Amino acid sequence: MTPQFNLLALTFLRNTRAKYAAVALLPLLALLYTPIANYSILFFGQRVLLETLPVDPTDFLRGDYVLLDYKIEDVDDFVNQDEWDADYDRQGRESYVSLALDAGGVASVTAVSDERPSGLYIKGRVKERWSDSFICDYGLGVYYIPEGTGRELEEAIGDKRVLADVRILRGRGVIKNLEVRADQK
Amino acid sequence: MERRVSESHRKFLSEESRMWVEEGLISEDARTGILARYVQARRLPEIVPLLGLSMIGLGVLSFIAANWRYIPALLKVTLIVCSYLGCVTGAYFLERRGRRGAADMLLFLSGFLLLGGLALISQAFHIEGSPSGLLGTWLLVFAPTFLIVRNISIYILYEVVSIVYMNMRYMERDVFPFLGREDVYLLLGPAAPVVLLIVLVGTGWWICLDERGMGSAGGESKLKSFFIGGPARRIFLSNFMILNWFTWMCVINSRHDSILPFVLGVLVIGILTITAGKFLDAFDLDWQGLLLLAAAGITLSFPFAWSSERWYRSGSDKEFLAATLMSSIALGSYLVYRIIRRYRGSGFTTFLFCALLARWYFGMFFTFMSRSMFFISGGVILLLITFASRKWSRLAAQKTGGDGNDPPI
Repeated sequence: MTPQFNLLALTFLRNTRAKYAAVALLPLLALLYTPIANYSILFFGQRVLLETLPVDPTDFLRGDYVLLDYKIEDVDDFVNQDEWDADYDRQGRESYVSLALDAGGVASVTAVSDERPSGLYIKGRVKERWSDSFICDYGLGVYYIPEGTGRELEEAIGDKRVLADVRILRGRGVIKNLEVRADQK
Repeated sequence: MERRVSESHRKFLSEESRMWVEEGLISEDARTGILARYVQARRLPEIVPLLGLSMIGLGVLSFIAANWRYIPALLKVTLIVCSYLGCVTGAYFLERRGRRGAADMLLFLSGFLLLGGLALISQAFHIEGSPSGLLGTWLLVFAPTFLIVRNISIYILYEVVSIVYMNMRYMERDVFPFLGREDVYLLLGPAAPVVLLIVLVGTGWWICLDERGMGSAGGESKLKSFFIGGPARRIFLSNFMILNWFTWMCVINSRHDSILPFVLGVLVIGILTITAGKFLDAFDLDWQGLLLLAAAGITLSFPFAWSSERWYRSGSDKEFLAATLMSSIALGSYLVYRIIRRYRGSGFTTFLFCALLARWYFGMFFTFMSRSMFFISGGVILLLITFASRKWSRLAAQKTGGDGNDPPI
């Protein structure tokens, strides 16, 4: 380092206002980015109900959050297996999953593509779970609950249907709530 | 009136004043009076309560996190942003009033708040992000503070988080970007550990440019001081040791294979240190400390490595726990190393005590206690140890007629 650089650096460090502005700028942007992005989805996004699939009921609750699997994660019927197997790098890249809503507002998958589709869709990453089975990860797999209420919720759920109330805007989804329906799974 | 000074300052004063007495400048009584005014600051009680308070802070944060759902989302965001801004603004005004140390401590606290805030905001919106993504985001946005403030506590905090992050990066198989953005993912991607290592070493050197803190102030000796002698070198070497061990441990993924590169790393660094020290700085060799650090690291890793078969590969929910434990071991080893250097006479007693306490505490409480209680009770234990330690040293001082401080090394 040259003496000029040291002088410049020390001059900057002695300017308290500039120093603190530089300290606070990035953290503030990071703290505000997530709320702004998610509030915009919650306010302007389309309401979609996603049916959950507790794969292993004994391991449904872990600590202070609920682990959620969704019916729409299973995209086996919409993926050309040979094509995906031939192009392994394609796995884990962002894909677009088109959705259709039934009369109750519950979503189901209609297509999976690399191109942004028209209509209702959600972004996710398609991966091979095991040989000849493909799933899509939407980043909606956890739902946080207050500490100590896990067992209570698990008992309330029992054999009932659990639907995730999700808002989707431009393919990004945010969970708003979990709905426990009286009808059985 | 007593003034607390560092170990090296008191040693310097003691040697200088002895010469003054020999030269007839002052009397022996005057020397005793002068030395009585400057008491040596004890390092152990400074480190332990800081850790205790940090644990209590973490406990409070995890308690808030656990009950986060009861607070409306907008209030959550406002609380987080305001507490972070409050800390930084407070630091700004303190620094303007010339209280630099207090300002730095507030910025240290702001680092905790930022990390907790990022996690809590993601929790408020049920974002499924990988823990390493969270730490990576924190490292990225806290870097300006780390680089600009140049404070040793913030440096160590950044270093600890870096180590946890690097461990997690290697262990997580399905990395989902924390902010859900590809560009952020690229920044926090596979090259991040290497970049972090460069940043840590670079910043160590950068801190050395300053007169205050831990570095040397001399113009020509700066580089020599950083790489060869002085406290900065010890930090650099400790970093290198820890990074070397954990990186290999995670890459190789086998407890037997991981010990070999660690031991090799210790030998290489030890030989380099001794060789360089022989020519340039023969009076400040660190090889005892390095060997003790190696012994502490290996000993502490055994209970975890043997507790279950490939425990760090057993599932995604274990990754955070594994990385936290491994990093705690790193931090523990580092502290043990520092404590042994300070209390050389009773080094093994301190080491055994710390190892036993840590092992017992993790083993007993981590599995069944809520996280908030775990941290708060751990913090309270550390504060009680500090209190007891101070009381014992006062009692010992009353018995011997001393000042209650340890003799200089």
